[in-house]
Amino acid sequence: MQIVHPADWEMAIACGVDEPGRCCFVDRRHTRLDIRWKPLHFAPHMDKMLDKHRARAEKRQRIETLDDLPEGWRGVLRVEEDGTFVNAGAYFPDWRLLVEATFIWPGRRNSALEKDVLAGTGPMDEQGPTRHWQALGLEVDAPKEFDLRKNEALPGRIVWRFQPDRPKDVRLLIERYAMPEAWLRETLRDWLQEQLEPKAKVIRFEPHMVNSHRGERLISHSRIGTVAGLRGYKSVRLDVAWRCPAEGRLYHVAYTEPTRDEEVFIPEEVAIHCCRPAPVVAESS
Amino acid sequence: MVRMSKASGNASSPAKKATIDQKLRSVPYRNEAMQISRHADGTVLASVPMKRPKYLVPPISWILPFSESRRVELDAIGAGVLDLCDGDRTVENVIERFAQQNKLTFREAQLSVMRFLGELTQRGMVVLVGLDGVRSGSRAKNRNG
Repeated sequence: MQIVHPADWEMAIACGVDEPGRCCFVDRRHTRLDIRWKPLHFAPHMDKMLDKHRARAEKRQRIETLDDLPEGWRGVLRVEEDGTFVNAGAYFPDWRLLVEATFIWPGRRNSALEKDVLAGTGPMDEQGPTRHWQALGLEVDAPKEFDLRKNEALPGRIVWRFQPDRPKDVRLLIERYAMPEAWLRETLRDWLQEQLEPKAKVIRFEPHMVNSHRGERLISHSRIGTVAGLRGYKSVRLDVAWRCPAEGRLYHVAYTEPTRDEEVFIPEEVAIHCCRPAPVVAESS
Repeated sequence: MVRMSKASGNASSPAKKATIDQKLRSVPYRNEAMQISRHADGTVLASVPMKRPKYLVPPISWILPFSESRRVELDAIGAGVLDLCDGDRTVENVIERFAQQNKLTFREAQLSVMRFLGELTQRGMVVLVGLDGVRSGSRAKNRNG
């Protein structure tokens, strides 16, 4: 799914794997956009859906049909005491996907912005072996078989955990830390070592260049289940960390795989985009 | 950002019930009774006076020790946020300044600063005025004795 939204709207809710599709965006004060999507076996009758919506709503509030939405989108506008709401829907037959968008306008409605968002919202063709992930300042390309299993937005820290369906023990962790001077009280090498599990055995450290930044690379081994261990397997982890001075961020990638080899490599398709300009925060009056 | 040298009290924050809009418009005030000692590395040791509980009279007070003040240690970043709470800036302004100083987006800064201000409020170091005005102000006053 691709959703184009204003830069100052940030994602607040994102559905997990195997959950109904949903993304919710907020500005400083309010929820502004709620997008939901679901696969349908048959094409929905959009007019009938709108009629039902209107019939439900007319009893208590003002409601208007919107005729000037981008192609494929149908919608209604509701005016309530606490703001204006726009409910729009579109069916994308090639993907058999129904997408519903709700805009919340606590102040004046911006219909031009609304149209831009709807025109840029819809299922996205997945070409090539990777899937592009971008939210909360983190921008990553990951192999298609890796699903985003967990997304954590912690103070000064974004954590994404990817995992393929099979094999289940393969894990990819990508973290982005703001304010690295607060997190990095020691060298990058020492910090990387602290990120390992307590019983992990450090095998090798080496300098590593990422996106033209000098970073550190660490290989470590840890024990695995008894049966796999008897078969010669161990959990091999590769950690890479670097500081991006342009962004003022610390990046950390950890790739774990059970293997008989001494070393693992982050899949070639994984790309982490950094060096984006520092955000400019507008001052309120 | 906060390192406690003594377990905190169980005062509930009135900010929990406020809307985001109210929180952003509120103004954080520092507790004037709090004593601050600054260290060369930018860290701060704050000493917040505590009110003696009514039940803490002899012979109970012979058994249960009572400290007249609660000490809270802040790292340089936390101390910076505390300095921004000057009674003039709203929470929104504090977040903006914090974001500018640390190259953060507003949302990133909001997440960190709001949580931190919540902790400072719980420890009686800061009071947010404008959430429900009188209630939060009077609570801080009582705590200060």
